[in-house]
Amino acid sequence: MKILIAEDDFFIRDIYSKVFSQGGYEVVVAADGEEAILRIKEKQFDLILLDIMMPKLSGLDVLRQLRAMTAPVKDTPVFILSNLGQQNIIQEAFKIGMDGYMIKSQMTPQQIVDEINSYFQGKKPAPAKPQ
Amino acid sequence: MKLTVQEKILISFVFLLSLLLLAVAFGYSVFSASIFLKSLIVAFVVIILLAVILSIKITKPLSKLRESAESLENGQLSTKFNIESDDEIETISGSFTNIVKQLLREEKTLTHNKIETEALLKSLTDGVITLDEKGNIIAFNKAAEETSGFAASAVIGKNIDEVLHFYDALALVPFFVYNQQKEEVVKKFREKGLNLNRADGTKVRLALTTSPVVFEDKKTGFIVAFHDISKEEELEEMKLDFVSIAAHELRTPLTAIRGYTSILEMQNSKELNQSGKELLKRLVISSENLGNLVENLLSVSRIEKSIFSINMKPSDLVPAIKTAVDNVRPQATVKQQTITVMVPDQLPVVLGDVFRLGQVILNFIANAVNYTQKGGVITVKAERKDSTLQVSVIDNGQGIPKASQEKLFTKFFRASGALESGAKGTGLGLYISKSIIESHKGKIWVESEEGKGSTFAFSLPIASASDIETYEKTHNQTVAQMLTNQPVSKT
Repeated sequence: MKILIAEDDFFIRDIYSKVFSQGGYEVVVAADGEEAILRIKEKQFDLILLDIMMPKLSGLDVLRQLRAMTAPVKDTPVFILSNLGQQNIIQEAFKIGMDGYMIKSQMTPQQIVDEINSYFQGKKPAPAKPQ
Repeated sequence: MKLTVQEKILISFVFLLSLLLLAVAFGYSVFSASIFLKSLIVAFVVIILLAVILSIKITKPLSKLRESAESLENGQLSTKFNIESDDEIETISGSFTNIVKQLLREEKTLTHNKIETEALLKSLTDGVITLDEKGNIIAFNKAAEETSGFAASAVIGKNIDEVLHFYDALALVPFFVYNQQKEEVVKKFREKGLNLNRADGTKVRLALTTSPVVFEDKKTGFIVAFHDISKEEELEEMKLDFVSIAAHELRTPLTAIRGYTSILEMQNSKELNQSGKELLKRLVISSENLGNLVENLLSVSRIEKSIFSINMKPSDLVPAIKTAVDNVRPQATVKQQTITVMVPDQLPVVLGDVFRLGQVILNFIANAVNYTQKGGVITVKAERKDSTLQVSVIDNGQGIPKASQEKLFTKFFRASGALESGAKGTGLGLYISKSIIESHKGKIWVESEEGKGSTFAFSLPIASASDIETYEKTHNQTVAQMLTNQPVSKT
């Protein structure tokens, strides 16, 4: 399984790429929104983990651009992994089209990997946790 | 010589009578019978004339007094009472003069007070409006004019509700409705303020107070005072925004810390020696505490901004209670404490956010574990009480002094003497718990005695059949189905 992790914080990017690699995933990282778009155009991913607060292009803008591309790329599953919990942001992400929203600081890396595993095994996608 | 009126009348009477007798005696002894009779008639007429003249002379001062009194009655405070009759009428007239002097003095004092009051009202920065008992505007000070944008001349005489429109969010609050509200509601209006539509259409936020004017047990009017709190509100908003931004920012390094400690725990702990493992364990606890604090900060700022989300659904609290207890068991075991759970397998369904309620329960239980000594006993009870569901956590810890009990549920209050630091899963503060329970229309309270232990409890209204029906209809799902799919709170 190929996943793209778009996250601007160095340490968080490091942690997630380690944990997902150990979880058996092929991991590609992007440090900002523009880089994420570049990676998306190069390769088809099975899942994208998207942070929202990123320089150059925000996660929501990346999502918008993704959903405006052609199939099959535009239908890539996306999980928002953010520390922002405001209702209006979550609603907006739902509107654009996402498959899950998780608050990073409330979950251990392993819990996030478990959620993604569950998703691929066909269970319910992670619901947006309370702020 | 001073003679009373009575003496004057008597003397005149005696004088005239004597005159008459004298005339009779004189005529009788001097004149012949026929002339005597004629002269008697003449004497009689003269005496009557004299009587009239004398009576007028005596009573003239009295009518003068009456005239002056009437003039005074009609409001002519400058009426003079100068009667010189050398009797009680003159005395009365003197009293009237003094009374008039006093009246003039008091009128002067009143006018002076009125001017002082007007100057005071003019100088106030708060708007002050005086109303009569019907709510019509009698006075409207300068600050009121400036704040509302209405000129005093334009509003005086009109009813307050006709001219000034106050809103609580979108609801119009007419004056007499405001006046009849309970103390708590009025307090809320005073603190949070009401919006006023200014003359130019813009809105200004005001803190309002009204007081009735009571005179001789009757309400003769009202004083309405208001204070512009727009600036204060802006400041409050900025503070809350700051807290919110800071808390969100804090989540980032927190994510990294918890992420790395989690990896260390899982994957590298084999490489650590015993002391290293212990250090790691403490690091994990501390970082979880930090995480809880940041989440609490964020929750508090959301509560204050009224954007704290609560998702009401028919819920069963039994799983939430069990999860909370499981969460603190490791800690309680370390402290050799006993946790007894007295919860039936089935509890009545309540309308609520099971995640948030779970946080409240965790808060209670974690506090009990933290503030109770080694070997202590903690009981978690859930039972039906009339039409409510009551959840209580009872401990035999140090108890809480009465003075602290009122402040327990306020922001930033911390009872002294938490035994042993490194408390895991402190859940949410009592302030947040209170907000949660109150937004569920429930009650939250504490019973405690120093040295004897504490009971923290909350009660929620049990979902009525119609509540459940409404929910089922709008969600296309029966409550029974919903409860089996119910997510369990994660910490």
